[in-house]
This record gives sequence, C-alpha cells and structure tokens, in this order.
Amino acid sequence: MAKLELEDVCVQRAGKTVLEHVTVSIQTGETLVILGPSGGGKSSLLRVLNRLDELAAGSISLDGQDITELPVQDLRRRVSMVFQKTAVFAGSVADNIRYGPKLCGQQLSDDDVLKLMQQASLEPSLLNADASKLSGGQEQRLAIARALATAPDMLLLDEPTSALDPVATHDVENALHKLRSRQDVSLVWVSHDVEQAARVADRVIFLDGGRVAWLGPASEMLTHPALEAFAQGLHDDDNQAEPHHGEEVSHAS
Amino acid sequence: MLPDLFGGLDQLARLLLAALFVVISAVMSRWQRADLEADLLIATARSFVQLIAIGYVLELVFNQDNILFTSTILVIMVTIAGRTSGNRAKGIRHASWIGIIAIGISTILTVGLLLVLGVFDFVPDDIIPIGGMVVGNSMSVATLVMTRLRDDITDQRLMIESKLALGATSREASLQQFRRALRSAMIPIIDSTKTVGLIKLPGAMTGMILAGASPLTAVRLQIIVMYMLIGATMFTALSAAYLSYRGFFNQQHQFVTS
Repeated sequence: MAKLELEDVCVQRAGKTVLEHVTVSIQTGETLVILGPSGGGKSSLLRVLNRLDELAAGSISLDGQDITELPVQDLRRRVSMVFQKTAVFAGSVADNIRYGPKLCGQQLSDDDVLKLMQQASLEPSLLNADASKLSGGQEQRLAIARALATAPDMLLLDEPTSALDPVATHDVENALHKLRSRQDVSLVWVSHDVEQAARVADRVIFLDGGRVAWLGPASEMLTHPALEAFAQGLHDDDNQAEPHHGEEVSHAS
Repeated sequence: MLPDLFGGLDQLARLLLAALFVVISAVMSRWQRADLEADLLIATARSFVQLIAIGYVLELVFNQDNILFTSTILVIMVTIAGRTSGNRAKGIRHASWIGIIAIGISTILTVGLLLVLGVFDFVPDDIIPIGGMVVGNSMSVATLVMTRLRDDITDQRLMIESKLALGATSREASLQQFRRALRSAMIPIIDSTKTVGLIKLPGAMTGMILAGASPLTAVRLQIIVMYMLIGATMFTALSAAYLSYRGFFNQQHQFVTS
C-alpha cells in the first residue's frame, strides 16, 4: 500500500513557472486522471513525481517520507513512468521488459516476462520478437509491461494513447483497465481527452495554466463549468499560460 | 639571408616549385568557380609562416636541451589542442577543459610510459616530435568523442530518460551512447593501423626515409609510433567520453538542461 502526497507543489522550467501550488494525494489502487489543455502543466507534474525534474517549492512524500530522502533509483522503480512516445530499447521484447529488474541484479524468467506481457495485453508470441518491429500500440503496451517489471506501487502514464489510432487506443486502454482491477497499483494518467477520463478515472484533476482548477470524482467533472467548456472544445488555448484565478479549486484528496 | 634560411638557393627553388601546386589548385578552383582561391592563399601563407616560426622555436628548444623548456612546449601543445577540440564541441559543459585534461592524461601516460620503458629519452629531439604526434591524434579523437556523444545524447534524450525513469543511473542510461562515441572515435585509427603500409606509408616512416634512413629503421620506429598512438587515442577517448557524459546529468540522475 503506497500513498503519494503532493503539498503546495511548484515547478519551474527554463525560468518559467509551469505548476503552482498543487496539492493532492493519490491513494493506492486509484486511477487519477490529470486533465487539461496543452501547456497546462500535466506532463511537468508527472516528471516531478518520477523525479526527472526537481520542485521549485513544496514537497512530495511517498508513504509519509519525502521523496528527496529516498534514493532516486528506488523511487523511480516504485513510481514508474510510461512516456507519450515509447523509446524502444535495442533487442527483443523480452530484453526490453527485463531491463529494469536487471539494473538491480534481478533476472526475470521467460514465465515472469510472459506474465508481464499478459498484464499489458501483449501477445505471448512477441516474447522474442525484435522490439523495433512493433506497431505503435504494441510499443505502448511494451512500455507498460516494461514499467510494470519493477513491481511499482504507481504507474505514471503520460498521454499513453495520444499518438495512437482508435484501435490501438482501445487495446492500450484495455490493458490499463486490467491493471485498474488490481488493488496494489495506482495509475496517474495524463490525458487531454475528457471522454477518456470519464471512461478510466476514479478522480480527475483539471490543470489549467499550471494551477488546479478542479479536483473531484470523475462522475462529477462535467458539472464544473471549466471542464464542461474544455469538453466542448471551447477552451481558449491562447490564454492557457495565464492561470485561471478565481475558479473553484478543490484541494480535497 | 632568405636562401640561408632554406639551406641555399637550390632548396629555396625547390620550395618555390612546390608552391606551384598551390597555384595550380587556385587556377582549377577559379576555373570551376569553387571560390576557394582566397582560402587557399590564406592557408598557404599561414602554413608557411607557422612552420617557419615553429622551425625557429624548435631550433631554439633543441639547442637548449632543457627539461623545463621541453615540458613547457608540451604543455602549450596540449592546451592549444584541448581548446581547439573544445571549440568544436559546443554544448558540452567545460568542453575546452575536458579536451585539455583528456589530451593531457593521454600525453602523460603515453610519453611517460615510453620514457619509463626506455624507448625514448627525455631530449627535445625525441619528445617534441613524439609528443606532437600524440597530441595531434588525441585532439582528433577528443573532438570526435565529444561531438558524437553530444549529438547522440541530445538526439536520444527520450531513450535515455526512459531508462532513467526505470531506475537506471545516468551512466547506465547513457551507456549505449558512451560506447558508440568511443567506437566511432577509435575506428579510424584502428582501420588505419590495419591497412598501414598497404594503402599509404605513414608520416613518421615517410619522413625518415626521405631524410635518408633505411626503410627497416623507419619501420621499427613506425611500429612503435603506431602502437603508441593506439594507446594514446584510447586514453583520450575514454577520458573525454567519461568527463563529457557526466556534464549532461546531475547527482540525482536528471538531465541538467531541459
């Protein structure tokens, strides 16, 4: 059981503030979707959770311990990340999946790898296939299996379906849906697709201009004007750099 | 005075005749509108002045036969080579220092080893030409390693971050790029060693034969030089690659620049 808590998190990139005062906690087994327009700070939030970037202010704790006090490699194994576009490592599908455990001296058997492939809805016949020959959807599912191989408490998903066609999107969502039924892993899923959020989320955090504009159960998200407007494509992307002050912000977790 | 400098009128005439090749090249450039005439003229004039100047300096150093003097010349050579290499590797943090350190380490190790083994003596006639070969070859390798590493790490950032995100250290995550940079820098010297004597006669050997040494004596020296250069370039490539990749990451195994 792992709980990740963000307290007043602020992030800067290239001298510009991209996240301001984000406070949220993520429970074991839940799927939290981070929704919002491009440039709203969604990916930046994932990057600080995996500690690929540092905070400018605030704190993040995992099971009550500040993540800066944990060895960074341990944190990254516990809070694993899948990127928007998959960088396939050289070698077979199995080599890719074995990469993370191998770093800490653990050699996965073929059975272990096949179990992970099954969890990520990858066909068993691909075990020894050249990973560079996979389709886009298979690559994303490989990235999911690769991230699961370190037995993480939490999986960070940075728009895992944004570059995929509808069929591949469906396959990846199905793979992740299976994971949702597990109670030992949380999903933090960045998306710009409200319908997808409605399908997969337990809770939704809506980031706009680097601030939390709304946070609550997925079932209630369309009752909020900002989200309703975003869902209808009415959001003015040109104004996204300006934080939306004065909107209802829930810090409930 | 001028004929004295070149060893008499006869030698001066030979030198001027050699310059005819530059004139022919300039004419061909004009004919083909390659627009290289100015560059050719500058390169020819520069090389003439530089070589005459270095000739005087070497004459002075060789006559002095002073350890401090000889060491200073080596330090100057390493510094210029390191800076030249560093200027090519913009985007690498402290590239000039990395170039100087890598070439310096390689020069100390290679020349030092040859001195300890008694292959050469610490006299300017031996040390300056040998040091020059080590420094020159090391400079090319340092430049190749740094530019290749910079390009690969920049182009393959997503690949490296994907590995970092799975718990790899920055060293583990950039190992592929590190090895590729080493290989790309070392392959030219390995290939030229493989084909030595078959495709072209190497510089040191050619120089000795032209100066009147027997081919077998020249070959003996050339073999020493080749093996020395393999060692020197490997020392340089490893040091430059190791010092360069570290500049892309911080202690938390994050990319330093976004």
